[in-house]
Amino acid sequence: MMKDKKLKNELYFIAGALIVAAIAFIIINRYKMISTENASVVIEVDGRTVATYPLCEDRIVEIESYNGGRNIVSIKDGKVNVTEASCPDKICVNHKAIKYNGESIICLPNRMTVTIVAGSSETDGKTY
Amino acid sequence: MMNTEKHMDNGNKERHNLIPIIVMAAVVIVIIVLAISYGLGSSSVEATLTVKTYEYFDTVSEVNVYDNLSKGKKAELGKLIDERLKYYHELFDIYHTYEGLNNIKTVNDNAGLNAVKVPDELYDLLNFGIVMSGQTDGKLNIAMGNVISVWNEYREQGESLPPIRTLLNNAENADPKYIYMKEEDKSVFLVKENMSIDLGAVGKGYAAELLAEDLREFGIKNALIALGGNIVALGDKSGELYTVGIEDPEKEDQVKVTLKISDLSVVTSGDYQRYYEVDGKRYCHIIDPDTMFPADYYRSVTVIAKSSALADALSTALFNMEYENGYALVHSFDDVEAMWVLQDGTVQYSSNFEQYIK
Repeated sequence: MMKDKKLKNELYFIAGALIVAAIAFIIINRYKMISTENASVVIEVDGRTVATYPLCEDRIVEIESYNGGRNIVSIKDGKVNVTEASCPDKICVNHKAIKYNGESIICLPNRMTVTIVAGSSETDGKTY
Repeated sequence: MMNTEKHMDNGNKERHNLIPIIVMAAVVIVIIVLAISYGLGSSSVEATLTVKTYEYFDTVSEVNVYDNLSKGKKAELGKLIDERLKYYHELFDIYHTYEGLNNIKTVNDNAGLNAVKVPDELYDLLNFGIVMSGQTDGKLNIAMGNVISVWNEYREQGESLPPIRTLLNNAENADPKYIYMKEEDKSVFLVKENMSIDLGAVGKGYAAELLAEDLREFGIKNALIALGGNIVALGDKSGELYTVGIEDPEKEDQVKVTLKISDLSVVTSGDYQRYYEVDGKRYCHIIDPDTMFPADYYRSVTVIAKSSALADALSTALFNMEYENGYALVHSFDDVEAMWVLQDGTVQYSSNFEQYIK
């Protein structure tokens, strides 16, 4: 009897934990998906924004990065990749494709960053 | 045996005690995640119509409509917005003349020669500009076109400052009292030959206000108009306030302060949009009518007002004014608030500005 009760409790606990995890997983995924609607791909070199593209449009761009370096950025199906780079370490090229708001690929030798920035969700307008 | 059993029992007991804590923690996490996603969901009310143009007022204009509209109405409204913006742009254009339209360039070209009959919108804007000159003690001056054009020329070259003599010569008749307005036939006459009108400080704000009126007449209740950085909020966003960011003068494209507004206009004048540097000193595009030199009291001034025309005019006038005078000017109006970003990046607010900060 005692053992059964313990087992039951443990099963409840595991089931509960699984449900909580599943709900959290679904919500987080939805949250990420919502936030990349209208998102932009912002490319910076040495701290300066050199280009901004919509995440939803496929394109391949060559970026002239720091000190004569160069990176090729590919935007395809809502995912962003660095496909080629002049840097020695190729960390940026080996980085997995990014697709969620706030994710970025950084090429330190070329001082280049590619970041996904959520579109209009932050403000509706800007005064300058 | 006994020992181990006892041990096991203890372990189970401990785990039993942990379960409520783990469940609680899980619930808290779920609530937080839900709150975040709900907060995000509720702020992403989508515009039903977005009209974006790149060819007017030397800036990007965007109108977002939040009313439900039929497909036909949307097309009609999109066309109307583009037509009206084009018309205001041509009317307030100091560089080009347009077939069959007496615009501000026609008025300037006839300085010292002829009175020019102009459309109501331009006549009213000039009247407004003259009134605002009086109310701002001349810190907004629409009659100093010839001074501004000299600065524009030297800024584009980007090498040196204009000679003082040239500025003084061109400033000689830069006075709104030489703009002669005739109500009967809505004509404008610039009495002096060497003067011209520049609408840089009021044109966009006035156009935004006129466009807001066009939208209201069309039956639109909720929309956000942005002619460059001139913002007009009509109504709200399905019961939610609009969020409007004020650009940080020190960090391009980043927001310094975020406002929550409805049925209000926000306009900013800053030294970081158009400027050039000579000997390490920054010279921006806003010229103080009293010195004929760019003002350097602030990095930017933001004005919140019911009317976008008023907000635009005041933001320029305040930019040219010492803080004490500006503060007094803002408080002489009902429902006008201002925010000053000083040279060192610190911020000053008028008495009720902070109620709009998110």
